[in-house]
Amino acid sequence: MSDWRATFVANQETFVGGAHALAWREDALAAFEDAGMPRPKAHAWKHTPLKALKTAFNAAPVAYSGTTPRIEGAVNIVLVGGVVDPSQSDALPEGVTVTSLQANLSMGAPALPTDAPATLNAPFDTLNKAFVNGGTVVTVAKNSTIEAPIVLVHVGGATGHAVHVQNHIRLERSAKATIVELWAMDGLANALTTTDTADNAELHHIVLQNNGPEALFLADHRHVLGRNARVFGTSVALGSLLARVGVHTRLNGEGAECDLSGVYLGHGSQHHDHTLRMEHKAPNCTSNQRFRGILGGKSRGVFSSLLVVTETGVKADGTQDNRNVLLSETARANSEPMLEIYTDDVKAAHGSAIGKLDDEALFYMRARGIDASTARRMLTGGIAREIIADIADEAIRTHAETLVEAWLLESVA
Amino acid sequence: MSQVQDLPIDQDYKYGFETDVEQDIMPPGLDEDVIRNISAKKGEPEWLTEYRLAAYAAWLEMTEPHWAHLKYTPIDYKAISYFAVPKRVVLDSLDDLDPEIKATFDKLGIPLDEQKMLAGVAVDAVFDSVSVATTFRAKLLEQGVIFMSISEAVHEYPEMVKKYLGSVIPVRDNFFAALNAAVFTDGTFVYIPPGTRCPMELSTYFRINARGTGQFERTLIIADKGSYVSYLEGCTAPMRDENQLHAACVELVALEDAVIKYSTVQNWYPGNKDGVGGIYNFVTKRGKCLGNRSKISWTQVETGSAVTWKYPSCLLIGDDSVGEFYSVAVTNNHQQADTGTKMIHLGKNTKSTIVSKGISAGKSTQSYRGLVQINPKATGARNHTQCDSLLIGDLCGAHTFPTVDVRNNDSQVEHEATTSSIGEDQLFYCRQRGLSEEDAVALIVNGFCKDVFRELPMEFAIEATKLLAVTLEGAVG
Repeated sequence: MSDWRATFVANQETFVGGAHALAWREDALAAFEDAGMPRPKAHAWKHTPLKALKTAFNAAPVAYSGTTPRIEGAVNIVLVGGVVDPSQSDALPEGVTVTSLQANLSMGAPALPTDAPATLNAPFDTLNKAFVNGGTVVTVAKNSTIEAPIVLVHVGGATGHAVHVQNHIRLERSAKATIVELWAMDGLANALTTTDTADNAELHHIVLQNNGPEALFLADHRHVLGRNARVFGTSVALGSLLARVGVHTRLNGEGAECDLSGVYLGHGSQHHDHTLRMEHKAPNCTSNQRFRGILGGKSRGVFSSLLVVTETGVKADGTQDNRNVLLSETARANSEPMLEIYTDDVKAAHGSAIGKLDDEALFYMRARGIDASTARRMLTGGIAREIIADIADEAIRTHAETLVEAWLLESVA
Repeated sequence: MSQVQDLPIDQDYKYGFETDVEQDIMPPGLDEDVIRNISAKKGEPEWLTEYRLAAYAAWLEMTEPHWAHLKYTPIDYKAISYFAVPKRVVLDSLDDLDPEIKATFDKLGIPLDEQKMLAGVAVDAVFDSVSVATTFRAKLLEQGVIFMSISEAVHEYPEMVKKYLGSVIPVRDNFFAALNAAVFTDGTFVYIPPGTRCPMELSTYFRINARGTGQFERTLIIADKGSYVSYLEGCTAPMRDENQLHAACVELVALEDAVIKYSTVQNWYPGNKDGVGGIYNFVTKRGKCLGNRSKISWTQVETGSAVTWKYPSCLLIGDDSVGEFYSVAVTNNHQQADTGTKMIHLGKNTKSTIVSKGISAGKSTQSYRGLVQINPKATGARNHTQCDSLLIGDLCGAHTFPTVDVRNNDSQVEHEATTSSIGEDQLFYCRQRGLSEEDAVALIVNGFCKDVFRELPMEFAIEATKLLAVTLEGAVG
């Protein structure tokens, strides 16, 4: 623990916000030290080993010289090590403002939306707050429909270094937008994303995680939805040695709807963890979760999701669906779709399945002259495409497909 | 002097009477001396005393688990009397049984009388801490089937008890199992010899009677190669405003090709409508499918207890072994249940089926908690889990916490679950055909539970259906 403090002291000169920000950063670090690293059997982390996070990571900025991925047909905002680089970023369409979080930090700790749910990645949220050095505040004005997707391209970082960023997304009343997070970083990326979708607004939030093979990724997503608000979240997880995505969603307004889907593809010793909590707090809300795992090598996939319907969440309709395909004998999948329901006027269902590729389907394809590895790639690709097809924007969908195709060529033989 | 008292009984719980029999009760409290005392009173061999003391030492180091979705007033383990025995207990024949106890069991409808051949069920009755009567023993022994109280088995078949006691549930397994191993007073021992199909249903009836006691029984069933046994378990307790602890252990061992079918109708006193009193039912049940092609099937109907904490499990060690779990749990008023199962697949081509139906009404909460683990060597393993919850009333809760852990790619695991209330269209349909609302609910609930009830032996299935109706009385309308 003292490691993190030592890093804090050594790097505090470089912290954004200067002396004004030191007080709340100190508080956050103290909170982290109080909580300590989770014990090996801590419930929230029982399937996710945290050995790689035991040592402190250097928080000083590192130079970046790689090629920045871009998505054609989208508005790319490039963040190098969490810091917005205007020279690489595109012009914004009308109705959207993107400000660099740095500008705000000297005025106080970044504000979370009112009613934002708690973190599922504790205690690393406190670490994020203590070291936060970048990110964005994205606001979509009321009644604006933004056609072009806004892509936050995160690059930079280096092994042994950590980048702590926060992206705060707010859609005002009846706004509509697609916000994408494209991750291509190295080292530890500890990211907090909050979304605040006001009444009748519609947010498509897509996370394409293609970090380096040795990267560690901690994503802390917190969504809050107003009346008749809609959030469609899709997570495509390909990169990182260890990736934990904690998504806590609160359906706060009557008639809100949230669909979360994801696909995680693992090879080597990768570890993909999606931990979710969906809270139905208002009446007549709908939520759907659809997650698919494709796991080869010695990789491990974790899906742990809790659907909570509180006493006030009457007429809730919730589903959870998780399917995993294990491509090798040594791959491992954990699936925990959980329901916690405190009222009787609900419809909730969940399902999970873990198995291997269908032998009959493989045989069928072989019989038609398709070689074994192509057949396997087609079948696994089909599973991934079930999820990718949920992405409404064509440019983003195509980019996600390209990433998955490349992964399949490399990993499925 | 003593008599079975016809206390004014709450209609909801007809087994709530208390029997006034002379008891030999140890003062409350637990230490090494109490354990030595229990052991001495039962004339146990040295190894068993040591076993108990080791368990007690382990228990002292352990802490009570609180991960379950349950809220209850803390248990004062020092206030419990760990030994209560009806005084006239040494029996040569059933005629010697204390008439009060016999009357109690008659009242409960337990066929203790061997004359009642029609019943066709061999019964071991456990009253507070000791087994008071075992019927049909001689007849069973003709076929080599051993059916007796575990205290007798310790003396008559010490080697067998020593070999298997604690082999499925080790002393350090969990807090309540350790406590049970330290203080268990009686229970049932069953051994089915190779190639034998047990000619009748075996049954144990548990009754907590004395005030301020806990019940800690231990059941050990061993089915040798190629044998079959069906075993039933029933439980009741008087109505009291105190919470009594029931911490039992059940160990099953199935050798090659053996089949054990274990059915429970649990009807401990659930407490009154305001949640006062009732039994804390903290039970560890586990079966080991040790031999190839062996099978263990758990069927349970849980209607009683204030708080239930129970996860009958199967360790599927032998190749091609099969584990099954069929459960109906009903909670009403302030009852709480956290129940489910664990299927640990270790052998090749092992299969397991889980069907769990939970019904919550009133202000009760209920959780299904399950683990399906497919280990690397368990290739070709298969599991299907179906768990459904039905909610009646807007103040109850139903939760589902399944865990699936698959560590090889040659297995197939599926889990499905639903949670819903009784559909208004279903109710309307029944009402339209002239059924009262209560009858309609009973009909729908019985249909919901059918998958499990058909796994029960017939007599039990009828009892279970009735119990369900009683438990849910007043839950609608």
